[in-house]
Amino acid sequence: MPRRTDSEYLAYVEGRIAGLRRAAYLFCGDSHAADDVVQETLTKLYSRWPGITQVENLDAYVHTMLVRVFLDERRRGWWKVALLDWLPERAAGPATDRAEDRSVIRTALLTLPPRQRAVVVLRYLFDLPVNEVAQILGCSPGTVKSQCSHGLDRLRQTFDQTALTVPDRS
Amino acid sequence: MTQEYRDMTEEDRIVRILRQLPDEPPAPSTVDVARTMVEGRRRRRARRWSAGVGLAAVTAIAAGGGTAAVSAMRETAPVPVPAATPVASRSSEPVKTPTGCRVALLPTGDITKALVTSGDPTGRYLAGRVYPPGRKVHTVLWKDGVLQPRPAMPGADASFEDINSAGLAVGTSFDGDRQQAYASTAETTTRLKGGRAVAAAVNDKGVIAGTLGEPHFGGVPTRWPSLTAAPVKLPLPAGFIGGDAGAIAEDGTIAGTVQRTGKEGTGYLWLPDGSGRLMPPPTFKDGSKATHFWPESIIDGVVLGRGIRDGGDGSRSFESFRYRIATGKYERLPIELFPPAIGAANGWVLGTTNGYAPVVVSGEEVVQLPKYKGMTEYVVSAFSADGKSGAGYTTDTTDAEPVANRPLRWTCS
Repeated sequence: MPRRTDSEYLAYVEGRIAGLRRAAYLFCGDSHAADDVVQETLTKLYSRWPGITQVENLDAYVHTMLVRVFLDERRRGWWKVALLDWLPERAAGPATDRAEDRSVIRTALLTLPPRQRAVVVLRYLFDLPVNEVAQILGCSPGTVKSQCSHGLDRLRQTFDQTALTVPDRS
Repeated sequence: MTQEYRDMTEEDRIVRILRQLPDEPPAPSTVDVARTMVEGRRRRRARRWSAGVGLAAVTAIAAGGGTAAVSAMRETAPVPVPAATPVASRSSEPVKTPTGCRVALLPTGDITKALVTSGDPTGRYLAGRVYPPGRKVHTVLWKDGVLQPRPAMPGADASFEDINSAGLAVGTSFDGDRQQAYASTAETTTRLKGGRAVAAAVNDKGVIAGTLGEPHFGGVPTRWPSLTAAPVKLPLPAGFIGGDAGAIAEDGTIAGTVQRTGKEGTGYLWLPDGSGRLMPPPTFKDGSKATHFWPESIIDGVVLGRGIRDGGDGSRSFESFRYRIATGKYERLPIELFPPAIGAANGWVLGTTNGYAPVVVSGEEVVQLPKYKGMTEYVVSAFSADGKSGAGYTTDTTDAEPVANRPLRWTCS
């Protein structure tokens, strides 16, 4: 089905914008920065919308674009954009309630290098298969696996230091 | 229990903790879909037109709301294009803006995707990297626009961050997820001493500035007196736990950031006499005080960078400044430049606008540099000390490539 009119673009965006904001928020850890990434992703998408019928898997294509905009924004920041900008204060001791737990988890996730963070988010929070993450990141499946392993190992160290526990299954 | 089973359950435990994280952004959406269409149409037009008629692509877009999301999409001001003929034809007058600027694609063999990541003060040397399809990214070096043989840097994702007038390049690559710093001459590649580190800058005396440890996360600003010397940690002011050294001047002055525990970095200068100085937050155009200053480059007693101001609603705004070390005074640049803003000795500043256009700022004038084949998004990475030669690359999304990087060099008369 051709997807090239403005109304089709608006319909597509309406159906996907919440998901894109969620993904960008997990990447960035800050809702304003996340919205910047979504804004730029959608702008790029619209600029190419007339030719979009050639794209087979539009969602994967847009996810790829989102990740690359996120990584590009990080790169643009160069050395003076401290990633700590958007971090809440690091928890000093064991977490005592669920809100604090979430702060520790988000802080831990944001300490991963941006590319590794994108891999972990896509693989474990979006449940994408290794091959699809590799395609989105433009790297080999082996790299995705090793980045996942490094990322989880680093998260494990933080979680263990702050005595975070596995929630009960409900 | 097998090792594989133990690994799987450990992975499962971490993932289950991770999944407690709510993914819903806490603030209401600031994404403006209508603006994606306005800006998207503008980019379509810009792609169709040739490089020489891209003026409409920098027409100011009507102002939208006050959020960072919207302001990031807005041109700060209409930007003049350079005169078709040099304005300096009246030879008795000093040249006040760059004229006769041209853009050229740097050679990369048969590899299309490539970046320029740094350049030397003379404009003769440029360093970058290329992305050969199906092979590892690797660093490259150009002299007078011609590719030079240069030994590869060990490790993955290598990048040259700076190069001096003798062709000594410094940079960083990854060993796993840890960065290691290297210095590269025509004959050798030397890993800098001190272990995990990044090298950010080198001056013509061969003094290298960077960070020992992990940059941005408690690493220590560091100076290597030479490529074979032991690292010398730069002193931190009381109450600060780390930082990053990002730029070094010919007199040895180093600009970077220092940070307190859990806080973001703010600008700091390490002066040749051994003293140091926090760079105060500059004052924004509306009279409000910035919360920080982040230096981006240094030349001849001048630091270029951005003031950062946090709004009460979580938004963040930026203005670009020139900081004069001798007086400790800031001068606001006429537009906000995306980092890095790179200075020349004559006061010109190379940067990109909010709309990603490459420009040179001279006094209050903003001169747009020519675009390459109608491409619209640029990052700049090098500016010669005389202001006559700059370099950078494109980051457009094209029909064929999600990020179409082309290495470019601008020359002006």
